Amino acid sequence: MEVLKIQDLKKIYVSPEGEKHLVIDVPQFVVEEQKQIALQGTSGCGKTTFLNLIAGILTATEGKIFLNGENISTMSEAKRDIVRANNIGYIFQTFNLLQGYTALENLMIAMSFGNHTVDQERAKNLLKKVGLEHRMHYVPAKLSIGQQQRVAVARALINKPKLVLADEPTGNLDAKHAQEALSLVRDICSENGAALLLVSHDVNILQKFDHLQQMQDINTASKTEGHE
Amino acid sequence: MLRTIFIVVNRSLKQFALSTWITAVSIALAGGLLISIFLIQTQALAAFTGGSVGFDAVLGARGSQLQLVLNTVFHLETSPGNIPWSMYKTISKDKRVKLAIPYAVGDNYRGFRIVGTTDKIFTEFEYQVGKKLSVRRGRVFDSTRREAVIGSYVAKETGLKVGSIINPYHGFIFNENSKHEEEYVVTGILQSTNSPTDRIILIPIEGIFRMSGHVLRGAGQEYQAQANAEIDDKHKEVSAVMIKLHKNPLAGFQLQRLINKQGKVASFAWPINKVIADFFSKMAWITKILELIAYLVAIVAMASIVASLYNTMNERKREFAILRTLGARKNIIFSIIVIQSTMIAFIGSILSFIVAFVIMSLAKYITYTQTGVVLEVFQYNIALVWVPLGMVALGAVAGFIPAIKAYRTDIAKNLLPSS
Repeated sequence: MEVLKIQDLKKIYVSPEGEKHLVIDVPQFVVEEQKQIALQGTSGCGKTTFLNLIAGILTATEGKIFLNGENISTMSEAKRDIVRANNIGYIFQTFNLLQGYTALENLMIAMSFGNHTVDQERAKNLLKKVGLEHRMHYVPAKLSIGQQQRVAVARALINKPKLVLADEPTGNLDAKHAQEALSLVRDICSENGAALLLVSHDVNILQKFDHLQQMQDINTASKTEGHE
Repeated sequence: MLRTIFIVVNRSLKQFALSTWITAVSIALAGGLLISIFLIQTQALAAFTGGSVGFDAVLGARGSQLQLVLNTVFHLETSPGNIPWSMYKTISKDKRVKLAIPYAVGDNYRGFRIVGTTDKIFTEFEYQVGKKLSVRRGRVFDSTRREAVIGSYVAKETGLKVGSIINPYHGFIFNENSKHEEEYVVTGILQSTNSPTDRIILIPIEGIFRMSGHVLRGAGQEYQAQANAEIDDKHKEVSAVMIKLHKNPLAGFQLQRLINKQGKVASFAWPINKVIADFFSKMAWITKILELIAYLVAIVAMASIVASLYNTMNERKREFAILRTLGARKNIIFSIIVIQSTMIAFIGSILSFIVAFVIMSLAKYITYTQTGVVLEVFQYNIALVWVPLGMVALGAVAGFIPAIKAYRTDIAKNLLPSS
């Protein structure tokens, strides 16, 4: 079954001068349940915009995005927020952890939105699983980069999402830690039955995936000059 | 959800602790000021106009009735002048008058007024129903001797004890150079009455007549009392006669008409409470201005909430964007800011009771030392409820402006970097 299905998706930005820039043009894209897909793309090819459109953070100019069968492109912003909370886990390159909050609180806050119930025990267990048993009451500033990455992974998975989006999740890690982090993300996604859509430009990461696609193949806009 | 909102609010209050406390204190000052103004206004009005002073009317020299009342009841202001002893005798015999007590003033002891009167002040006068002036130490004065009975506050402030010797000073304001030769022995200290009586010294009225340098003009020409010689009543004069009327609704009205409208020598201030109430109503603009100032302070305090929260919005954009990516709806972000501003206003409102307590304690001390009137630091007043609630409500409203800014936070723009 498809977790994500995209049809004729377009995102056009209008510059202050009124010039239109087509940054995303994806005629068709599908992510099957529990599948792990890597997208390769150079910097500025619209990877983050693409993920943000899927997450419902940005609204599409045209096209349809079906998440778990629901077309989020026609939904109100408030409804998209709920769908995002219920179905998507998002891992960022810079982790985007809430700085003033402990690792445990970061997870518990993530459990507060959508249809979830805040389950402190589950949050603790997941932090144990990612090796942060003794760091769960630390704020991000007191954690190493690798540990922050693990918190970000745990937070993305805490609500058992159907789809995990990872935007250069190992971009801030050295090669050794990057491989460890990738394994962690993939393993936990597998255990939770979540599909993974990871974007990266790091070939060492990308080569680990069976399903690797080029961003330029999906996003026809990135092949052109980016103007409409 | 609610728990999370409070965790976020609590963390933010701590993160911006300095600005939180400064804003809360400004709200506390505004709230405390407002509460105090309403408490003082209500209590002062009640104390000066509603409280029992034990007398219904004051008979004194022709002039301002307010001055007469302030001078004799509250021992403030100067005396408007004297009236002949004969007027005292006449009014005391009037069927409508239950009790008439003469007051002769014009001297002080270290700023505390000396009131010359008769021993009826102890035996017949009731400052409240069923309560007569009584001494807590010593005894009342002997009208034929140079003896004094001092109020409880006078005793506390001057350290005078039973047996202490005092010399009166001429005038209402203490001046070391205007000391009278006569020495008076303190024979008693009054029980505290929480009234202006606590701040005076009572001596026999004959003592005022015979004080060195005092001149009596009761007969129209100046007369100075001679030692060991009786003073003819025609020379005597008094500053005022304190009057308690019989319970006849027409008594005061008739005497007022008789003395004020038909006579030309004296004023009959009746009823005492109305004289003061008229004064308060004339002075109502002062409390209006004070209220206005307090409202302006409240507005400034609310503006400080807006400014302090608004200034943190730029720092918190990323936090809001992250919360949004986690699924927080815009209205949750809005609620976080409104609840935060409400919490700041709530803390300020709690602190406003401390500010009000300090202001009221100072007001109580000043009012008591200056007038003898006792204010309660915290007496139930509806302002104790609506001021804090109003401040909290205003705090919530003040949060709307920064909340709208937070509501409009663009998620994608504030989640850097993008790839």
